[in-house]
This record gives sequence, structure tokens and C-alpha cells, in this order.
Amino acid sequence: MIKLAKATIGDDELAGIREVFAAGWLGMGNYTLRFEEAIQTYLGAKNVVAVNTGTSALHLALVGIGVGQGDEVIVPSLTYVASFQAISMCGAQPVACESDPETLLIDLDDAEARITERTKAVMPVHYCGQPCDMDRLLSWKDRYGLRIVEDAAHAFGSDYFDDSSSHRGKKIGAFGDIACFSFDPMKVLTCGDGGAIATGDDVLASKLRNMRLLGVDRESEARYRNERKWFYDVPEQGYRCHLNNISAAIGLSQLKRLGQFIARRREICLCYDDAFSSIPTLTLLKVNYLQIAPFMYVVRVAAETREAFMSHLKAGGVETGIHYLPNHWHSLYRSDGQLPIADRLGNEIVTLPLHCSLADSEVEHVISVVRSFFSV
Amino acid sequence: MIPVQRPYLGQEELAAVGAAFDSRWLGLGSVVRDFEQELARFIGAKNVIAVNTGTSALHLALDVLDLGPEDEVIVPSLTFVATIQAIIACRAKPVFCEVSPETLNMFGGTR
Repeated sequence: MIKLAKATIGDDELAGIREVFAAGWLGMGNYTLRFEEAIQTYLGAKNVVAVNTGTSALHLALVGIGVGQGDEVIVPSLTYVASFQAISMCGAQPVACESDPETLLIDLDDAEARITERTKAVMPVHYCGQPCDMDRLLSWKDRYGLRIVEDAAHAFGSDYFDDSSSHRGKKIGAFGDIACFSFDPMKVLTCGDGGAIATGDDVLASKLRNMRLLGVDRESEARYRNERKWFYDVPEQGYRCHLNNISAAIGLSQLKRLGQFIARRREICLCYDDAFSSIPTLTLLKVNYLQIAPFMYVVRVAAETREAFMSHLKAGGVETGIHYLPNHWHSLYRSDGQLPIADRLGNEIVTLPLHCSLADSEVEHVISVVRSFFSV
Repeated sequence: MIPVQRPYLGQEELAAVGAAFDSRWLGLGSVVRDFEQELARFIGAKNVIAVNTGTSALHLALDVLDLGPEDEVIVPSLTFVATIQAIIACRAKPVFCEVSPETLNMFGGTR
């Protein structure tokens, strides 16, 4: 079976872990600092705070900007439940909005129409690694007084390529408001599990550094030296969601090879695009894969054929996935709001295998099994 | 400098990590199930659910009790702040109690 996603991980990462074992400091420490500095440089970001998961990144960011009971956060329904749970964990209400069928990115017209006086933030999702329209989103900071908490779980390494923007050529996380990354096992870069928040807001960043270590005041500074403080104050609520030295060492090793990972993923996406563009009943996303760090390759098929399509691929030894079921379908988040586009997309999307260990022959195999379904 | 605490681990643990890397499944998976089963046997517990931190364990355990702002949880003051933060994260109120000077546990003596 050709797997949908797979981590590219091995001896380099093990060597990093061996170093951490030898140093005898496994928790948050000097490797966490090195990892933060390395991704800060890579992204061109002002502040980077490393945490244990992408969900923690979103949760801390929301708590850090004061989202709580009674507040609303607008988020596309078509995202993993992590985005929604991060919002409801704060006691706030996720307000689901539509996605653009061509890109599966947040539909900003629809999102704007859902802004109320209770809206505190918008959470755009850089789906598959494609950047959302950040210029328009950032204009809402002043116009509506909103914060923009980017769910950049898919987008570590992606460039912003809007020709008309002054941010053109910058990486996601280098500008904007608050970008939240994930380094879970399936991501382009993995820490085993991990996440990070990149923000230009210095005050927020120093708050988040305390919040990830149970609110222990300035504990990050001691940990960065592989030490702990024995006399400390705890001024506010915090959570246990730092990134430990082991995970950071894995991330540092991965970062050295990130360029190769992205190049291989782009190559595979282009092969797929090239092979599938002539199939009329298979809808490809309108993505220029050469401009992003592609996390997934997603296509759309007619809702009534999706099950047969996925079974056909499985029988041909090709794993497929659905990213994701719209969140307004889940019992926890069901609402009266109408989301006909998300409903349709939720029934049409299929994810094909994309990871660095796919051999050329496997890519060819995926292509031929897909083509055979459509008899082309 | 002799450190107060230091983890004791090495080749065996590295080999186990290497095996997990080789399986290419790094997230919650079959090794977690094995670990939970071993833990249950070791402790003699009926159910074991593995999570990412001790704080998460406390937080989840309190969360299923459906605590609200009206609820109180009694906890010794002499503990790491994680214990307290887990209670506050569930929006409940920590109520501090003393510990025995002899054991630093909530009650004098051990059982």
C-alpha cells in the first residue's frame, strides 16, 4: 500500500537525540532555544515561541490576545478540528465560514459578512501550505479591531506571493499578526510532535514564553540554559506546552534538510498536476505548487463517485484521505448557519499520497491507478 | 557541579526511538498501546490512558468531572504550580491545605 503521508526521519535525527541524552537535559533547554533561533532566521520572523503542538500554538495565541467566554472567532469550517477545539478551549465560540472551492482557502467575503461586535479574531487556515490573502485580512485589524491568528499548521516554509503586496516574497510567519505552526509527524518538517508561534508582537511573545511553562515568570530564560529557577512567582494562568530538547533536536536536524523535502514535494505535485489536468471529471486545486511548501495534494471528484474513487485506489494499493470533514457537521459544533459550499466540498475532496519517501515509480503508480478510474 | 537531578537513559532508549522512526509512524500509535498495557500491568491498574504530560493528565482528569467556577478542589500548597494550574484551567477554585512536616504529604504518616 502506498501511504498517504510518512515522516522522512532517521539517522540524522537519532544523532541529535543522542546528543540530548548525553547532555542529560531532556526538557525544555538549549536545543529549544537553538530551534527557535533557527526557525526565526529561516522565516525572517521577529519572535518565535516553540511549543509542543500546533494546537497548543493556536490555544496559547488565542488566550494570549484575551479571547475568552462570550467572544467569537471566525474560522473556515473546512479545517481540522484542532482549529475549532483551540477556540472552544478558551470558552469562545467558533463561527464557521465558507471556503473558496478553487483553493479551499477561507472565503473572505463570507468571513467578513459574519463579523459581529463579539468577534475578537479571525483564524484563516493556510490550507495545504497556500497563503491566504493576508493583505485583506491584515486590513481588518484596523477596520474591525480584530486580531488575525493564522492557522499556519500546513504552511511552514511557504512564501507569500501576492504580486501586488508589499509583503511579496516573505515567508508566512515573517509578517502578519500571529502565525501558528505545527510540526506533527505528518508535516513537511516534524519534531515528532511540536509547534511554534511567530509574531511581530513583542509583548505577546514574552507573555507566551511564560504561558507555555505554566505561567512561571521568566522560566524560559533559565530553561534556555538547561537550568531551573527555584524561586519564582506565578502571576497568571499558564499551560504545560513547551517544546522539549528531544523534539527540538529532531526539528533542528529536519530543518537542515527542509529544502530537499520541499523540492521533492513540489516535484511530485507537478507530476500529479501534469498527469491529471486532462481528466475533465477530476478537479485540481488552483495552486502554484512551486511557490509553496506543499503539505498535501488534494483533488475534488463528484460527491456521488468519491466512495468508488477511494475504493478503486485502495484496491490498487493507494491510500487516500479526506482533509477534512467540515466542522459544522460535528455534534459539538453543529449550528443553524448555512454553509452550502463547505457541505459540497466536504463531500468532494480526496487527498492523494504526498511525502518525500515516495519513489518515482510509486508516483507513476498512483497516477496510473487514478487515471484507470476515469478510464483515461 | 553535581546536578540535583539527571535523567538516566541511553542506548536502549535510543534503539527504541530508532525503531519508532523506522516504522514511520511517529504519532499516537501501536507503541502507545503497548506502553499503556505495560503500565497497567506494572501499576496493577484497571485502565491506563497515556497523555503527553503530567499536567495534561491532571487537567483531563479534572475536566471529565465537569468542574465549574462554583467548584473547589483541595490541594496542598506545597506542590509544583502544575497541580494548581490544572485546577484553574478547569475554571475551578484551588483550596490550599497544609502538609505534614514529617512527610510533606497531605496527611501525616505513610500507608
